[in-house]
Amino acid sequence: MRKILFIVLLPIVVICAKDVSMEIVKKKNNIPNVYINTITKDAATISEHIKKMVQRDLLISSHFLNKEIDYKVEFENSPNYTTLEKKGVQLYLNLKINKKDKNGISVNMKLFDTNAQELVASNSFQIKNEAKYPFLSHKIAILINKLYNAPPIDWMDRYIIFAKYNKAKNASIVISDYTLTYQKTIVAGGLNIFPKWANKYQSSFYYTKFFDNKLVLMKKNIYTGENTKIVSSNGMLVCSDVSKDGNKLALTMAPNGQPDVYVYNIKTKKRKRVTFYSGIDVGAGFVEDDTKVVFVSNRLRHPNIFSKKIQGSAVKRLVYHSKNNSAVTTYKNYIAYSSKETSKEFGNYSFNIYLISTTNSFISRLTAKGVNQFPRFSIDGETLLFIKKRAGKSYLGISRLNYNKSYTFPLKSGKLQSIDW
Amino acid sequence: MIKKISFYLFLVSLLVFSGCGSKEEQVDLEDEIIDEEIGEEEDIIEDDEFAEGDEEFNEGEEAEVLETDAAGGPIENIYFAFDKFFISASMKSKVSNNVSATQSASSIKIEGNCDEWGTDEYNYALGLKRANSVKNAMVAEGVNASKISIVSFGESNPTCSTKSESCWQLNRRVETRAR
Repeated sequence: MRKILFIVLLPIVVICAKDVSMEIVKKKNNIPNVYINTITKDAATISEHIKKMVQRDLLISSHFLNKEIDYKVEFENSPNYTTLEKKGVQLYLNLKINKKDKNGISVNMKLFDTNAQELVASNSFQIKNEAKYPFLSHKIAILINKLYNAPPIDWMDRYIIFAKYNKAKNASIVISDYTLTYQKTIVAGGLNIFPKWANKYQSSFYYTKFFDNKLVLMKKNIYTGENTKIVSSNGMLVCSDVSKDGNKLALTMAPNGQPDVYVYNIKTKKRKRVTFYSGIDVGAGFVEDDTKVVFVSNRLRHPNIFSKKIQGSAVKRLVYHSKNNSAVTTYKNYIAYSSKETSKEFGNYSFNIYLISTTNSFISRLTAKGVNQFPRFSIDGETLLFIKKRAGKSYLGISRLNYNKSYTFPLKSGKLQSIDW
Repeated sequence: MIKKISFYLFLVSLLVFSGCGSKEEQVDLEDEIIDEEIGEEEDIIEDDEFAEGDEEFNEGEEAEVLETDAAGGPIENIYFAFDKFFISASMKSKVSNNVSATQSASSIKIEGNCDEWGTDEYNYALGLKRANSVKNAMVAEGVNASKISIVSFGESNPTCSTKSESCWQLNRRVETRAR
Protein backbone atom coordinates (compact mmCIF):
# COMPACT_ATOMS: atom_id res chain seq x y z
CA MET A 1 0.00 0.00 0.00
CA ARG A 2 2.83 2.28 0.89
CA LYS A 3 4.33 1.94 -2.52
CA ILE A 4 1.08 3.05 -4.04
CA LEU A 5 0.38 5.90 -1.71
CA PHE A 6 3.85 7.08 -1.21
CA ILE A 7 6.25 8.02 -3.91
CA VAL A 8 4.12 7.95 -6.98
CA LEU A 9 6.69 6.28 -9.05
CA LEU A 10 5.33 5.00 -12.28
CA PRO A 11 7.91 2.59 -13.51
CA ILE A 12 6.61 2.69 -17.03
CA VAL A 13 8.68 -0.14 -18.39
CA VAL A 14 11.95 -1.80 -17.99
CA ILE A 15 12.62 -2.06 -21.64
CA CYS A 16 15.74 -4.04 -21.47
CA ALA A 17 16.51 -5.33 -18.04
CA LYS A 18 18.86 -7.89 -19.50
CA ASP A 19 20.94 -10.13 -17.40
CA VAL A 20 23.93 -7.89 -17.36
CA SER A 21 25.01 -9.23 -14.06
CA MET A 22 28.55 -8.35 -13.57
CA GLU A 23 29.53 -7.97 -17.16
CA ILE A 24 30.99 -4.85 -15.87
CA VAL A 25 33.07 -6.40 -13.19
CA LYS A 26 34.86 -8.89 -15.37
CA LYS A 27 37.66 -6.44 -15.14
CA LYS A 28 40.33 -6.54 -12.55
CA ASN A 29 39.06 -3.42 -10.84
CA ASN A 30 35.73 -4.85 -9.98
CA ILE A 31 33.90 -1.90 -8.47
CA PRO A 32 32.36 -0.12 -11.44
CA ASN A 33 32.75 3.60 -11.95
CA VAL A 34 29.49 5.37 -12.67
CA TYR A 35 29.07 8.71 -14.41
CA ILE A 36 25.73 10.48 -14.07
CA ASN A 37 24.75 12.99 -16.74
CA THR A 38 21.65 15.15 -16.21
CA ILE A 39 19.65 16.80 -18.95
CA THR A 40 16.94 19.34 -18.13
CA LYS A 41 15.01 22.22 -19.61
CA ASP A 42 13.30 23.62 -16.54
CA ALA A 43 14.54 21.81 -13.42
CA ALA A 44 18.23 22.61 -13.06
CA THR A 45 18.29 22.85 -9.27
CA ILE A 46 16.36 19.68 -8.55
CA SER A 47 18.40 17.86 -11.21
CA GLU A 48 21.57 18.67 -9.33
CA HIS A 49 19.97 17.50 -6.08
CA ILE A 50 18.92 14.21 -7.68
CA LYS A 51 22.35 13.63 -9.21
CA LYS A 52 24.05 14.31 -5.89
CA MET A 53 21.64 12.03 -4.04
CA VAL A 54 22.05 9.10 -6.47
CA GLN A 55 25.83 9.51 -6.25
CA ARG A 56 25.59 9.45 -2.47
CA ASP A 57 23.41 6.33 -2.52
CA LEU A 58 25.79 4.51 -4.87
CA LEU A 59 28.72 5.43 -2.67
CA ILE A 60 26.98 4.26 0.50
CA SER A 61 25.94 1.01 -1.21
CA SER A 62 29.69 0.28 -1.41
CA HIS A 63 29.02 -1.50 -4.71
CA PHE A 64 29.80 1.42 -7.04
CA LEU A 65 32.13 4.39 -7.34
CA ASN A 66 31.31 7.75 -8.86
CA LYS A 67 33.51 9.28 -11.52
CA GLU A 68 33.09 12.76 -13.00
CA ILE A 69 34.05 13.06 -16.69
CA ASP A 70 33.52 15.70 -19.34
CA TYR A 71 31.36 13.75 -21.75
CA LYS A 72 27.74 14.68 -22.43
CA VAL A 73 25.44 12.61 -24.60
CA GLU A 74 21.95 13.64 -25.72
CA PHE A 75 19.23 11.55 -24.13
CA GLU A 76 18.16 10.00 -27.44
CA ASN A 77 21.72 8.94 -28.31
CA SER A 78 24.04 6.21 -27.11
CA PRO A 79 27.49 7.05 -25.77
CA ASN A 80 30.67 6.07 -27.54
CA TYR A 81 31.81 3.05 -25.55
CA THR A 82 35.44 3.40 -26.60
CA THR A 83 35.45 6.92 -25.19
CA LEU A 84 33.89 5.67 -21.96
CA GLU A 85 36.47 2.90 -21.70
CA LYS A 86 39.30 5.38 -22.17
CA LYS A 87 37.81 7.60 -19.47
CA GLY A 88 37.48 4.67 -17.09
CA VAL A 89 33.70 4.74 -16.80
CA GLN A 90 31.91 1.40 -16.78
CA LEU A 91 28.36 2.70 -16.35
CA TYR A 92 26.92 5.80 -18.01
CA LEU A 93 23.63 6.99 -16.47
CA ASN A 94 21.68 9.55 -18.45
CA LEU A 95 18.86 11.26 -16.54
CA LYS A 96 16.39 13.54 -18.31
CA ILE A 97 14.66 15.51 -15.56
CA ASN A 98 11.83 17.96 -16.10
CA LYS A 99 9.02 19.57 -14.17
CA LYS A 100 5.61 17.99 -14.43
CA ASP A 101 2.24 19.42 -13.45
CA LYS A 102 2.20 21.74 -10.41
CA ASN A 103 4.89 20.38 -8.11
CA GLY A 104 5.88 17.17 -9.82
CA ILE A 105 8.95 15.92 -11.62
CA SER A 106 9.40 13.38 -14.37
CA VAL A 107 12.64 11.48 -14.76
CA ASN A 108 13.64 9.40 -17.77
CA MET A 109 16.62 7.21 -17.18
CA LYS A 110 18.95 5.30 -19.49
CA LEU A 111 21.81 3.16 -18.23
CA PHE A 112 24.62 2.14 -20.59
CA ASP A 113 27.18 -0.55 -19.85
CA THR A 114 30.62 0.09 -21.35
CA ASN A 115 31.76 -3.53 -21.27
CA ALA A 116 28.52 -4.96 -22.64
CA GLN A 117 28.44 -2.02 -25.06
CA GLU A 118 24.72 -1.63 -24.86
CA LEU A 119 21.77 0.01 -23.21
CA VAL A 120 20.94 -2.12 -20.19
CA ALA A 121 18.00 -0.26 -18.65
CA SER A 122 15.51 2.36 -19.68
CA ASN A 123 12.98 3.53 -17.11
CA SER A 124 10.69 6.42 -16.37
CA PHE A 125 9.65 7.79 -13.01
CA GLN A 126 7.26 10.46 -11.92
CA ILE A 127 6.65 12.03 -8.54
CA LYS A 128 3.82 14.37 -7.72
CA ASN A 129 5.76 16.31 -5.14
CA GLU A 130 9.35 17.31 -5.75
CA ALA A 131 10.01 17.43 -2.01
CA LYS A 132 10.26 13.69 -2.18
CA TYR A 133 13.10 13.68 -4.68
CA PRO A 134 15.36 11.85 -2.18
CA PHE A 135 13.10 8.81 -2.39
CA LEU A 136 13.08 8.99 -6.18
CA SER A 137 16.87 9.11 -6.12
CA HIS A 138 17.00 6.15 -3.75
CA LYS A 139 14.73 4.22 -6.15
CA ILE A 140 17.14 4.87 -9.03
CA ALA A 141 20.12 3.69 -6.98
CA ILE A 142 18.23 0.60 -5.83
CA LEU A 143 17.37 -0.24 -9.44
CA ILE A 144 20.97 0.10 -10.65
CA ASN A 145 22.13 -2.01 -7.73
CA LYS A 146 19.52 -4.67 -8.48
CA LEU A 147 20.50 -4.82 -12.17
CA TYR A 148 23.99 -5.77 -11.11
CA ASN A 149 22.88 -8.42 -8.65
CA ALA A 150 24.68 -6.71 -5.82
CA PRO A 151 23.45 -7.34 -2.27
CA PRO A 152 20.14 -5.49 -1.77
CA ILE A 153 20.03 -1.88 -0.65
CA ASP A 154 16.25 -1.70 -0.47
CA TRP A 155 16.52 -0.23 3.02
CA MET A 156 17.42 3.07 1.37
CA ASP A 157 13.87 4.01 0.48
CA ARG A 158 12.27 3.08 3.78
CA TYR A 159 10.93 5.82 5.98
CA ILE A 160 12.91 6.77 9.04
CA ILE A 161 10.72 7.90 11.93
CA PHE A 162 12.31 9.76 14.80
CA ALA A 163 11.50 11.87 17.83
CA LYS A 164 13.53 14.97 18.50
CA TYR A 165 13.73 17.20 21.53
CA ASN A 166 13.00 20.82 20.68
CA LYS A 167 13.22 22.19 24.22
CA ALA A 168 12.63 20.98 27.77
CA LYS A 169 9.64 18.62 27.97
CA ASN A 170 8.91 19.12 24.30
CA ALA A 171 9.56 16.63 21.51
CA SER A 172 8.04 16.19 18.07
CA ILE A 173 7.88 13.18 15.77
CA VAL A 174 9.25 13.44 12.24
CA ILE A 175 9.32 11.20 9.16
CA SER A 176 12.37 11.41 6.91
CA ASP A 177 14.46 9.56 4.39
CA TYR A 178 17.67 8.00 5.63
CA THR A 179 19.75 11.06 4.75
CA LEU A 180 17.44 13.43 6.68
CA THR A 181 17.06 15.49 3.50
CA TYR A 182 13.31 14.97 3.33
CA GLN A 183 11.54 15.68 6.61
CA LYS A 184 7.91 15.94 7.62
CA THR A 185 6.74 16.63 11.17
CA ILE A 186 3.89 14.28 11.91
CA VAL A 187 3.23 14.95 15.62
CA ALA A 188 4.00 18.22 17.41
CA GLY A 189 3.10 19.94 20.67
CA GLY A 190 4.05 18.60 24.11
CA LEU A 191 6.29 15.64 24.79
CA ASN A 192 5.98 12.92 22.11
CA ILE A 193 8.64 10.24 22.19
CA PHE A 194 9.65 6.68 21.22
CA PRO A 195 7.96 6.33 17.81
CA LYS A 196 7.86 2.73 16.55
CA TRP A 197 6.48 1.55 13.20
CA ALA A 198 3.36 -0.55 13.74
CA ASN A 199 3.86 -2.73 10.65
CA LYS A 200 6.24 -3.47 7.81
CA TYR A 201 4.22 -1.24 5.49
CA GLN A 202 5.09 1.79 7.63
CA SER A 203 1.52 3.09 7.45
CA SER A 204 1.04 3.56 11.21
CA PHE A 205 3.26 4.03 14.21
CA TYR A 206 3.06 3.85 17.97
CA TYR A 207 4.40 6.60 20.20
CA THR A 208 4.28 7.76 23.80
CA LYS A 209 2.46 10.97 24.65
CA PHE A 210 2.66 12.73 28.00
CA PHE A 211 -0.65 13.97 29.39
CA ASP A 212 0.32 15.70 32.64
CA ASN A 213 0.57 12.79 35.12
CA LYS A 214 -0.43 10.12 32.65
CA LEU A 215 1.45 8.53 29.79
CA VAL A 216 -0.53 7.24 26.86
CA LEU A 217 0.58 4.92 24.06
CA MET A 218 -0.94 6.27 20.85
CA LYS A 219 -1.20 4.72 17.39
CA LYS A 220 -1.29 7.10 14.44
CA ASN A 221 -1.93 6.44 10.75
CA ILE A 222 0.37 8.68 8.72
CA TYR A 223 -2.00 8.93 5.75
CA THR A 224 -5.40 9.44 7.39
CA GLY A 225 -4.14 11.12 10.55
CA GLU A 226 -6.32 8.82 12.66
CA ASN A 227 -4.91 8.83 16.19
CA THR A 228 -5.99 6.10 18.61
CA LYS A 229 -5.29 5.58 22.32
CA ILE A 230 -3.93 2.07 22.88
CA VAL A 231 -3.08 1.88 26.57
CA SER A 232 -2.07 4.24 29.37
CA SER A 233 0.13 3.92 32.42
CA ASN A 234 1.57 5.94 35.24
CA GLY A 235 5.28 6.51 35.53
CA MET A 236 6.59 5.13 32.26
CA LEU A 237 5.28 3.68 29.01
CA VAL A 238 7.32 2.85 25.91
CA CYS A 239 6.61 0.59 22.93
CA SER A 240 9.99 -1.05 22.38
CA ASP A 241 9.03 -3.55 19.69
CA VAL A 242 6.18 -4.92 17.59
CA SER A 243 5.77 -8.64 16.83
CA LYS A 244 6.05 -9.85 13.23
CA ASP A 245 2.27 -10.16 12.86
CA GLY A 246 1.75 -6.75 14.45
CA ASN A 247 -0.54 -8.16 17.14
CA LYS A 248 1.78 -8.00 20.13
CA LEU A 249 3.75 -5.13 21.57
CA ALA A 250 6.80 -5.32 23.80
CA LEU A 251 6.25 -2.50 26.28
CA THR A 252 8.14 -1.00 29.16
CA MET A 253 5.50 -0.09 31.72
CA ALA A 254 5.57 1.01 35.32
CA PRO A 255 2.00 0.88 36.64
CA ASN A 256 3.32 0.90 40.22
CA GLY A 257 6.47 2.89 39.72
CA GLN A 258 8.47 -0.19 38.81
CA PRO A 259 9.72 -0.32 35.19
CA ASP A 260 9.33 -3.82 33.75
CA VAL A 261 8.88 -5.50 30.40
CA TYR A 262 5.31 -6.40 29.45
CA VAL A 263 3.80 -7.98 26.35
CA TYR A 264 0.53 -6.35 25.29
CA ASN A 265 -1.92 -8.14 23.01
CA ILE A 266 -3.55 -5.64 20.65
CA LYS A 267 -6.57 -7.87 19.95
CA THR A 268 -7.44 -9.00 23.48
CA LYS A 269 -6.16 -5.77 25.07
CA LYS A 270 -4.56 -7.87 27.79
CA ARG A 271 -1.05 -7.44 29.08
CA LYS A 272 1.37 -9.96 30.50
CA ARG A 273 4.22 -8.96 32.79
CA VAL A 274 7.40 -10.65 31.56
CA THR A 275 10.09 -9.40 33.97
CA PHE A 276 9.88 -9.11 37.75
CA TYR A 277 13.21 -7.66 38.83
CA SER A 278 12.99 -4.84 41.36
CA GLY A 279 15.50 -2.68 39.47
CA ILE A 280 15.31 -1.61 35.84
CA ASP A 281 14.15 -3.78 32.93
CA VAL A 282 13.59 -1.90 29.65
CA GLY A 283 14.00 -1.91 25.88
CA ALA A 284 12.69 -5.37 25.01
CA GLY A 285 12.83 -6.76 21.48
CA PHE A 286 11.11 -9.91 20.26
CA VAL A 287 13.31 -12.79 19.07
CA GLU A 288 12.91 -16.44 18.09
CA ASP A 289 9.48 -16.14 16.47
CA ASP A 290 8.31 -13.77 19.16
CA THR A 291 8.62 -16.41 21.89
CA LYS A 292 11.45 -14.66 23.67
CA VAL A 293 12.55 -11.10 24.48
CA VAL A 294 16.01 -9.58 24.60
CA PHE A 295 16.12 -6.61 26.96
CA VAL A 296 18.28 -4.23 29.00
CA SER A 297 18.45 -4.75 32.75
CA ASN A 298 20.56 -3.45 35.61
CA ARG A 299 20.20 -6.69 37.56
CA LEU A 300 24.01 -6.94 37.78
CA ARG A 301 24.11 -3.37 39.13
CA HIS A 302 24.98 -1.99 35.69
CA PRO A 303 22.86 -2.01 32.53
CA ASN A 304 23.47 -5.08 30.41
CA ILE A 305 21.76 -7.28 27.84
CA PHE A 306 19.66 -10.30 28.83
CA SER A 307 17.07 -12.62 27.30
CA LYS A 308 14.03 -14.42 28.66
CA LYS A 309 11.31 -16.66 27.25
CA ILE A 310 7.98 -14.89 27.47
CA GLN A 311 6.43 -17.99 29.02
CA GLY A 312 9.50 -18.95 31.06
CA SER A 313 11.21 -17.73 34.20
CA ALA A 314 14.96 -18.11 33.56
CA VAL A 315 16.89 -15.00 32.57
CA LYS A 316 20.04 -15.41 30.49
CA ARG A 317 22.87 -12.89 30.24
CA LEU A 318 23.86 -12.35 26.61
CA VAL A 319 26.74 -9.88 26.71
CA TYR A 320 29.92 -10.38 28.70
CA HIS A 321 31.77 -7.36 27.37
CA SER A 322 31.74 -4.04 29.25
CA LYS A 323 29.76 -3.08 32.33
CA ASN A 324 27.44 -0.55 30.76
CA ASN A 325 25.40 -1.72 27.77
CA SER A 326 22.14 0.19 27.68
CA ALA A 327 20.52 -0.37 24.26
CA VAL A 328 20.08 -3.42 22.08
CA THR A 329 18.74 -4.58 18.72
CA THR A 330 18.65 -8.09 17.32
CA TYR A 331 18.69 -9.76 13.92
CA LYS A 332 18.59 -13.55 13.77
CA ASN A 333 21.73 -14.68 15.62
CA TYR A 334 23.23 -11.23 15.85
CA ILE A 335 22.97 -8.65 18.61
CA ALA A 336 24.07 -5.04 18.32
CA TYR A 337 24.34 -3.01 21.49
CA SER A 338 25.56 0.36 22.67
CA SER A 339 28.37 0.17 25.20
CA LYS A 340 29.95 2.82 27.41
CA GLU A 341 33.71 2.68 26.91
CA THR A 342 35.92 2.56 29.96
CA SER A 343 39.19 2.87 28.11
CA LYS A 344 40.80 6.31 28.11
CA GLU A 345 41.54 5.66 24.45
CA PHE A 346 38.02 6.75 23.62
CA GLY A 347 37.88 9.70 26.01
CA ASN A 348 35.40 10.23 28.82
CA TYR A 349 31.77 9.38 28.20
CA SER A 350 32.24 7.61 24.91
CA PHE A 351 29.70 5.06 23.70
CA ASN A 352 30.33 2.68 20.81
CA ILE A 353 28.16 0.13 19.08
CA TYR A 354 29.27 -3.48 19.04
CA LEU A 355 28.05 -6.45 17.04
CA ILE A 356 28.18 -9.95 18.47
CA SER A 357 26.93 -13.38 17.47
CA THR A 358 24.87 -15.48 19.86
CA THR A 359 26.38 -18.66 18.41
CA ASN A 360 30.10 -17.97 18.58
CA SER A 361 32.66 -15.56 20.03
CA PHE A 362 32.47 -13.06 17.16
CA ILE A 363 32.61 -9.45 18.33
CA SER A 364 33.15 -6.35 16.28
CA ARG A 365 33.13 -2.64 17.08
CA LEU A 366 31.09 -0.73 14.50
CA THR A 367 31.72 2.88 15.51
CA ALA A 368 34.92 4.70 16.26
CA LYS A 369 34.29 7.84 18.29
CA GLY A 370 31.70 9.97 20.04
CA VAL A 371 28.45 8.85 21.63
CA ASN A 372 26.75 6.19 19.50
CA GLN A 373 23.45 4.84 20.75
CA PHE A 374 20.05 3.42 19.86
CA PRO A 375 21.11 0.79 17.26
CA ARG A 376 18.41 -0.55 14.95
CA PHE A 377 18.97 -3.32 12.36
CA SER A 378 17.56 -2.90 8.86
CA ILE A 379 14.92 -5.40 7.78
CA ASP A 380 17.55 -7.46 5.92
CA GLY A 381 20.12 -7.23 8.71
CA GLU A 382 22.69 -5.74 6.33
CA THR A 383 22.73 -2.25 7.75
CA LEU A 384 22.47 -0.65 11.15
CA LEU A 385 20.86 2.67 11.97
CA PHE A 386 21.97 4.54 15.08
CA ILE A 387 22.02 7.91 16.82
CA LYS A 388 25.32 9.72 17.18
CA LYS A 389 25.93 12.71 19.44
CA ARG A 390 29.02 14.78 18.94
CA ALA A 391 29.90 18.29 20.08
CA GLY A 392 26.34 19.02 21.14
CA LYS A 393 24.88 17.97 17.80
CA SER A 394 22.77 14.96 16.82
CA TYR A 395 23.47 12.77 13.80
CA LEU A 396 21.70 9.87 12.21
CA GLY A 397 24.24 7.13 11.61
CA ILE A 398 24.23 4.36 9.00
CA SER A 399 26.65 1.47 9.43
CA ARG A 400 27.20 -0.82 6.42
CA LEU A 401 27.98 -3.98 8.31
CA ASN A 402 29.78 -5.91 5.59
CA TYR A 403 31.91 -3.02 4.48
CA ASN A 404 33.10 -1.59 7.82
CA LYS A 405 31.86 1.82 6.86
CA SER A 406 29.68 4.28 8.72
CA TYR A 407 28.08 7.46 7.49
CA THR A 408 26.48 10.17 9.57
CA PHE A 409 23.90 12.77 8.65
CA PRO A 410 23.51 15.85 10.86
CA LEU A 411 20.19 16.99 12.27
CA LYS A 412 19.88 20.70 11.71
CA SER A 413 17.92 21.56 14.83
CA GLY A 414 16.91 19.74 17.98
CA LYS A 415 18.30 16.57 19.48
CA LEU A 416 17.47 13.03 18.34
CA GLN A 417 15.56 11.14 21.04
CA SER A 418 14.82 7.81 19.35
CA ILE A 419 14.61 6.32 15.85
CA ASP A 420 12.99 3.49 13.94
CA TRP A 421 12.86 2.32 10.32
CA MET B 1 25.22 -9.48 6.48
CA ILE B 2 23.85 -12.38 4.57
CA LYS B 3 22.86 -13.58 1.20
CA LYS B 4 25.74 -12.11 -0.59
CA ILE B 5 27.00 -15.47 -1.49
CA SER B 6 26.47 -14.94 -5.18
CA PHE B 7 28.11 -11.56 -5.02
CA TYR B 8 31.09 -12.85 -3.15
CA LEU B 9 31.35 -15.92 -5.31
CA PHE B 10 31.52 -13.59 -8.19
CA LEU B 11 34.25 -11.53 -6.62
CA VAL B 12 36.19 -14.67 -5.84
CA SER B 13 35.78 -15.84 -9.42
CA LEU B 14 37.15 -12.52 -10.58
CA LEU B 15 40.34 -13.17 -8.74
CA VAL B 16 40.56 -16.59 -10.29
CA PHE B 17 39.80 -15.49 -13.82
CA SER B 18 42.07 -12.53 -13.72
CA GLY B 19 44.91 -14.83 -12.82
CA CYS B 20 45.44 -12.85 -9.73
CA GLY B 21 46.48 -15.45 -7.26
CA SER B 22 46.67 -12.94 -4.51
CA LYS B 23 46.62 -14.08 -0.94
CA GLU B 24 43.64 -13.21 1.15
CA GLU B 25 44.17 -10.08 3.15
CA GLN B 26 43.04 -10.02 6.72
CA VAL B 27 42.37 -6.54 7.90
CA ASP B 28 41.89 -5.53 11.45
CA LEU B 29 38.42 -4.10 11.64
CA GLU B 30 39.26 -1.44 14.16
CA ASP B 31 41.69 0.14 11.74
CA GLU B 32 39.20 -0.07 8.97
CA ILE B 33 36.22 1.71 10.48
CA ILE B 34 35.43 4.62 8.30
CA ASP B 35 33.21 7.18 9.92
CA GLU B 36 32.28 9.59 7.23
CA GLU B 37 30.16 12.60 7.92
CA ILE B 38 27.98 13.49 4.99
CA GLY B 39 27.45 17.16 4.19
CA GLU B 40 25.04 19.51 5.79
CA GLU B 41 21.40 18.68 5.86
CA GLU B 42 19.70 20.47 3.03
CA ASP B 43 16.69 22.70 3.37
CA ILE B 44 13.64 20.85 4.49
CA ILE B 45 10.75 20.96 2.10
CA GLU B 46 7.38 20.22 3.62
CA ASP B 47 4.90 18.23 1.57
CA ASP B 48 1.21 17.52 1.69
CA GLU B 49 0.89 13.80 1.14
CA PHE B 50 0.76 12.89 4.79
CA ALA B 51 -1.90 13.94 7.21
CA GLU B 52 -0.99 17.23 8.76
CA GLY B 53 1.30 17.13 11.74
CA ASP B 54 -1.31 18.27 14.17
CA GLU B 55 -0.45 20.30 17.20
CA GLU B 56 -1.42 18.11 20.08
CA PHE B 57 -1.49 19.79 23.41
CA ASN B 58 -1.73 18.27 26.79
CA GLU B 59 -5.20 17.74 28.12
CA GLY B 60 -5.79 20.77 30.25
CA GLU B 61 -3.17 23.19 31.34
CA GLU B 62 -1.07 22.13 34.25
CA ALA B 63 -2.26 23.71 37.48
CA GLU B 64 0.03 26.24 39.03
CA VAL B 65 2.53 24.55 41.27
CA LEU B 66 3.66 25.78 44.64
CA GLU B 67 7.38 25.62 45.04
CA THR B 68 7.39 27.00 48.54
CA ASP B 69 5.23 26.40 51.52
CA ALA B 70 4.60 29.01 54.18
CA ALA B 71 4.94 26.53 56.98
CA GLY B 72 7.81 24.41 55.80
CA GLY B 73 10.06 26.56 53.63
CA PRO B 74 11.24 25.90 50.12
CA ILE B 75 11.05 22.56 48.40
CA GLU B 76 14.49 21.32 47.44
CA ASN B 77 15.71 19.15 44.61
CA ILE B 78 17.17 15.76 45.48
CA TYR B 79 20.36 14.95 43.56
CA PHE B 80 21.75 11.53 42.63
CA ALA B 81 25.05 9.92 41.66
CA PHE B 82 25.71 8.70 38.11
CA ASP B 83 23.48 5.73 37.20
CA LYS B 84 22.16 5.51 40.80
CA PHE B 85 18.68 5.78 42.21
CA PHE B 86 19.24 5.40 45.95
CA ILE B 87 19.10 8.52 48.12
CA SER B 88 22.49 9.41 49.56
CA ALA B 89 22.91 10.28 53.22
CA SER B 90 23.44 13.94 52.39
CA MET B 91 20.14 14.11 50.54
CA LYS B 92 18.00 12.42 53.20
CA SER B 93 17.67 15.63 55.24
CA LYS B 94 16.42 17.42 52.11
CA VAL B 95 13.70 14.82 51.71
CA SER B 96 12.67 15.46 55.32
CA ASN B 97 12.55 19.19 54.61
CA ASN B 98 10.36 18.52 51.60
CA VAL B 99 7.99 16.45 53.72
CA SER B 100 7.51 19.50 55.98
CA ALA B 101 7.24 21.85 53.03
CA THR B 102 4.46 19.85 51.41
CA GLN B 103 2.37 19.18 54.50
CA SER B 104 -0.51 21.36 53.39
CA ALA B 105 -0.49 20.19 49.78
CA SER B 106 -3.47 18.27 48.48
CA SER B 107 -1.34 16.52 45.89
CA ILE B 108 2.38 16.05 45.32
CA LYS B 109 4.01 15.36 41.97
CA ILE B 110 7.51 13.89 41.96
CA GLU B 111 9.49 14.21 38.73
CA GLY B 112 12.60 12.13 38.07
CA ASN B 113 15.32 13.44 35.74
CA CYS B 114 18.63 12.22 34.34
CA ASP B 115 21.77 13.54 32.75
CA GLU B 116 22.34 13.05 29.03
CA TRP B 117 24.42 9.88 29.34
CA GLY B 118 22.94 6.51 28.60
CA THR B 119 20.21 5.47 26.23
CA ASP B 120 16.98 7.38 26.53
CA GLU B 121 14.67 4.48 27.43
CA TYR B 122 17.02 3.40 30.20
CA ASN B 123 17.19 6.99 31.38
CA TYR B 124 13.40 7.27 31.59
CA ALA B 125 13.42 4.16 33.77
CA LEU B 126 16.27 5.51 35.87
CA GLY B 127 14.42 8.80 36.37
CA LEU B 128 11.36 6.87 37.44
CA LYS B 129 13.31 4.81 39.95
CA ARG B 130 14.72 8.03 41.37
CA ALA B 131 11.23 9.51 41.68
CA ASN B 132 10.03 6.29 43.29
CA SER B 133 12.88 6.37 45.81
CA VAL B 134 11.88 9.88 46.88
CA LYS B 135 8.22 8.88 47.04
CA ASN B 136 9.04 5.89 49.26
CA ALA B 137 11.21 8.07 51.52
CA MET B 138 8.40 10.61 51.91
CA VAL B 139 5.85 7.89 52.60
CA ALA B 140 8.19 6.48 55.23
CA GLU B 141 8.08 9.87 56.91
CA GLY B 142 4.31 9.85 57.04
CA VAL B 143 3.12 11.36 53.76
CA ASN B 144 -0.04 9.74 52.45
CA ALA B 145 1.00 7.67 49.39
CA SER B 146 -2.29 8.35 47.65
CA LYS B 147 -1.40 12.06 47.45
CA ILE B 148 1.79 11.35 45.49
CA SER B 149 2.17 10.76 41.77
CA ILE B 150 5.47 10.06 40.06
CA VAL B 151 6.69 10.61 36.54
CA SER B 152 10.00 10.49 34.71
CA PHE B 153 11.23 12.97 32.16
CA GLY B 154 14.43 11.06 31.47
CA GLU B 155 16.93 13.46 29.95
CA SER B 156 14.24 15.66 28.35
CA ASN B 157 14.19 18.28 31.11
CA PRO B 158 17.74 19.45 31.85
CA THR B 159 18.34 22.50 34.00
CA CYS B 160 21.91 22.85 32.83
CA SER B 161 23.33 22.38 29.35
CA THR B 162 27.04 22.98 29.85
CA LYS B 163 29.23 20.00 29.06
CA SER B 164 30.71 19.46 32.51
CA GLU B 165 30.41 17.04 35.38
CA SER B 166 29.07 19.78 37.70
CA CYS B 167 26.33 20.49 35.16
CA TRP B 168 25.41 16.84 34.64
CA GLN B 169 25.20 16.50 38.42
CA LEU B 170 22.48 19.18 38.47
CA ASN B 171 20.47 17.25 35.90
CA ARG B 172 20.50 13.98 37.89
CA ARG B 173 17.72 15.15 40.14
CA VAL B 174 14.21 14.70 41.44
CA GLU B 175 11.91 17.71 41.59
CA THR B 176 8.98 17.75 43.99
CA ARG B 177 5.95 19.86 43.16
CA ALA B 178 3.10 20.52 45.56
CA ARG B 179 -0.39 21.71 44.69
